[in-house]
Amino acid sequence: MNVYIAGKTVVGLLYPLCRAVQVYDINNNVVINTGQKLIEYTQDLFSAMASLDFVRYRDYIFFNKQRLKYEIDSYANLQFMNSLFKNLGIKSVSFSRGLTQAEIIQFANMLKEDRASFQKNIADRKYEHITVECLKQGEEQDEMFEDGQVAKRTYFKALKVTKNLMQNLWSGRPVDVKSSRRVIFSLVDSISRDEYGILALTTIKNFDEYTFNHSLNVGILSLALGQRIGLDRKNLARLGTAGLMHDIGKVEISRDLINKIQKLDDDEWETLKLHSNYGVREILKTRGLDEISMIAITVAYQHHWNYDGTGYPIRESDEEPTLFSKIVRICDSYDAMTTARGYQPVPYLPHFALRVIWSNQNRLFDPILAKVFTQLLGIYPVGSCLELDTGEVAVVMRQNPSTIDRPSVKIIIDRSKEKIDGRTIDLAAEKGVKIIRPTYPQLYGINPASYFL
Amino acid sequence: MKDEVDQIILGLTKSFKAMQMYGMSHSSFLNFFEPFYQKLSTFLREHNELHLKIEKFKMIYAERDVYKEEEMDMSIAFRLFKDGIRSIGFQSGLTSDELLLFIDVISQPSKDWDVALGLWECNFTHVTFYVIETEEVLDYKVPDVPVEQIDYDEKLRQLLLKEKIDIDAIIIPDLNDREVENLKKCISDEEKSAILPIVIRTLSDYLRIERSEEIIDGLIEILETSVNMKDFYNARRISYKLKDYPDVDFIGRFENEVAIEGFREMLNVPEDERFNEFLAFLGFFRKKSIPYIIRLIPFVERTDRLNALRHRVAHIADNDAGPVAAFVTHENADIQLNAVQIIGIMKPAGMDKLFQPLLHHSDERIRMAIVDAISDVKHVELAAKYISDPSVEVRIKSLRILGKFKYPGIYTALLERIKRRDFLDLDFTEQREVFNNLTANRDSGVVQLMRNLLYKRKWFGHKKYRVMRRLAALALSQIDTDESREVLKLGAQMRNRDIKLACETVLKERST
Repeated sequence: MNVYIAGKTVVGLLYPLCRAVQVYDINNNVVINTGQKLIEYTQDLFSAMASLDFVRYRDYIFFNKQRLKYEIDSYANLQFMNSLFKNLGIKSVSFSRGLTQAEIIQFANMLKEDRASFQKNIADRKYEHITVECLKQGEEQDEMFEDGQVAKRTYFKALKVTKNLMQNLWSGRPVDVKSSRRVIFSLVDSISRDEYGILALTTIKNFDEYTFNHSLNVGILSLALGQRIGLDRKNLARLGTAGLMHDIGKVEISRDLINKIQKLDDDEWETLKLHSNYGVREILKTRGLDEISMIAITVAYQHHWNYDGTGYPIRESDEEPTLFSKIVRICDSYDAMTTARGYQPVPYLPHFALRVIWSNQNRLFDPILAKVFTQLLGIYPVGSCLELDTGEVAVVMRQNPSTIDRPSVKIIIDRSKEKIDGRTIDLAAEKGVKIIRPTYPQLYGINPASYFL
Repeated sequence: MKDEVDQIILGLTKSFKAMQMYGMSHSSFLNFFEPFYQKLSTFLREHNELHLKIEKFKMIYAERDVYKEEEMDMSIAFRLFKDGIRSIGFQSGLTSDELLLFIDVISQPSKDWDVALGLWECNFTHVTFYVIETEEVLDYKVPDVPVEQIDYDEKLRQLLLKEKIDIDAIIIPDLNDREVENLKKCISDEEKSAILPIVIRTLSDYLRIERSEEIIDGLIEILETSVNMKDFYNARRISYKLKDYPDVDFIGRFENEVAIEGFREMLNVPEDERFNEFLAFLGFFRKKSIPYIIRLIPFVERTDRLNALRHRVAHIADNDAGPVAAFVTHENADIQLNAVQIIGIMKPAGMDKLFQPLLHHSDERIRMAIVDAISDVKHVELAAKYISDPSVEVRIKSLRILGKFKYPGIYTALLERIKRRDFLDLDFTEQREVFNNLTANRDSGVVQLMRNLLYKRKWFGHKKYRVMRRLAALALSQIDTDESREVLKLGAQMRNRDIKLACETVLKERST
């Protein structure tokens, strides 16, 4: 019996059961049948295992001590279970031999309660074959606080390292490769721990130091997309490095040209396009030719190659961009569109940028990756400002993986159009509140990034 | 528990030292490692976790120092501490492979090795560690955003005009099963596919726009890696690109005895494709490497590859037989043989002189190789030297050359030859070649000679002599003059059955 597969399958069976009890009564056939499937499967497992233990630790779900990985086909199930455990303050759930259909259905029904009711009811109600351990009072707060702080610390450290790296290259000084490797390691850990925490920080844009923030943001977005499609840590480290270094060739282009406000003429445009080529040379100079740098070289060279064979530098017809290049291609475009620059003083709204990516799948972007990227960021990506039908304006704080058009938002402008530090609403839960449309934060003199710091 | 932990730490220390001294596959290491793993597993089964705090030279378990070593190079604690690791935890379920990997990572000798990164990349399930980060002051200040009046609808109109997208398109980003499978395949293909060919192509593409020393150096570095990995497909591709830069010596680093000797395993690789790639890569080598390549040739097992390699050396020599000729007098007959054969492929002017020292070499293969080498070059004097060679194959081959290129000087010697009693004991093929040569290099008396041989009265040994009559008849047929035809016609009417049969047979063959 493969423990990993078993764990993945149980999560996969528990997910529809939990969804079913949200919609139907527990006596409904859909619920009963879904519960039956789960019981049938667990009966087989119990012949080999005394108990089925699920433990949540730092956004990882462990099944019988084996960590379940986020993979593309199990992502939604695992994310659902993770959110459930997190929201209800569950530390572990253990199913033991003898588990009945009635028990599992009643337990699934309890999982739809709010946190307070769940914790009270689970303490009162004793299941013979289900044991639940909840987090103690300070345990979770520490974790959440720590996660947020770690994400911020990681982001700014990464920003500093990216800046040093590029500035040293600009001035011909030696580059600290060890630091950049360490930063990737922290970013991957941060993404694995709480992808939305660090993704939110990509709303930090910097007009004056566009290249640094942009490089880091692309690195983070790429890591998040890479994690979502199920890349392992080793590959995430490679992808993150490639994302961080994708524009490194710009150190060879004059800063005046990069920061030019006016529209570029043809010659200037051709010069700017050379940054893909120069990136190859810069990475060679910086890192030599280890395995990671070879991938970074490829991505730096290919990150303007389009899905349909167009783009630059010009390529032979049989040359296909690598998976990592396709990922960075999307993330680079998204961050570039959503960032103010000389020739683009008002950036695209995040949701509009996402629609540009969505509409250009098959032409500019890999269609499957474009879909996963949309799943990742949601219809209204983190940092979007939304006008609500309540007359308030809110900023998107966090996605809800299961309802991508109903994120968690924080009210920042009240009905009288005054800035406030308002409440956070989970739109997935509060179905009565409607989103009218996304709006420009500039209208209110707001920088969405400030809500994540 | 105190004793248990002490024993575990002792096991860790010994395994660490043994790993440094012997490496992970050595039995001495395993002698320490296996009991260490057993003790640790037993402990973890009982206690679930072993959590060690790391200080500069110490490890602490449950507020008690369990390890202390102040010698930096020897200290496990210091190795972990210097890279920011402040605690290590082993959890229940730890596998032997995980522990082995852990010891391997912490024992890496390089000073540049980052233990924290090494452990991180292992992605352990049952080993945790905590690394301190230097505390960064969050001095970032979010820039103020001035209030701007943006006409949303106008802005949207402009953007839609620019991007030409459908803003109301319904977005359903769920992947169907086929897309999930495609994505999985794409990831798996990416993991399986080698990055080297892509990087080589990228660097080569770069050189299309401009020359860059960094890129050239990068390609040379990959070339070295490829050659070390015996990946001659990529080595050849890089070399092909770099040969556009005559001032870049990319191949010199391999043109030495050690490097070329290292190619020996390629000579008999089972896959033809790999051998051919290797052979193609050798094409970039220069003359100075010939001596080392020639020494490799005797190790080739397959004839077709042997020939291919000889041709490759001939190609490298580029019409200069000098480097190969030096091996004609080598003490090893196999190498001499190859030298002769390569020279035979090159066919340089004065080739016959190069072979002089080997004319009467005791090894028949070498004499044969010489004759082969001159088989389509007019070195008749050299060929003539082999008509009395001890080897029948060599003699026949040399006779064929003499017949092909005509060498009248051989006529008298051949006459002497056929008059000898033992001529009748020779192989028919050789006898025939001698007669062919007589006709090819004939003088005016050849018809008379053949007539005499054909009509010769033989009281004794006439059966054995039949072959001489037949050879003479064949020669007359080949000469094909009025005089020779007359001899044959006359012979066909003779009473002597042997003469009659010999003449009739050739006349019949002629008419058909």
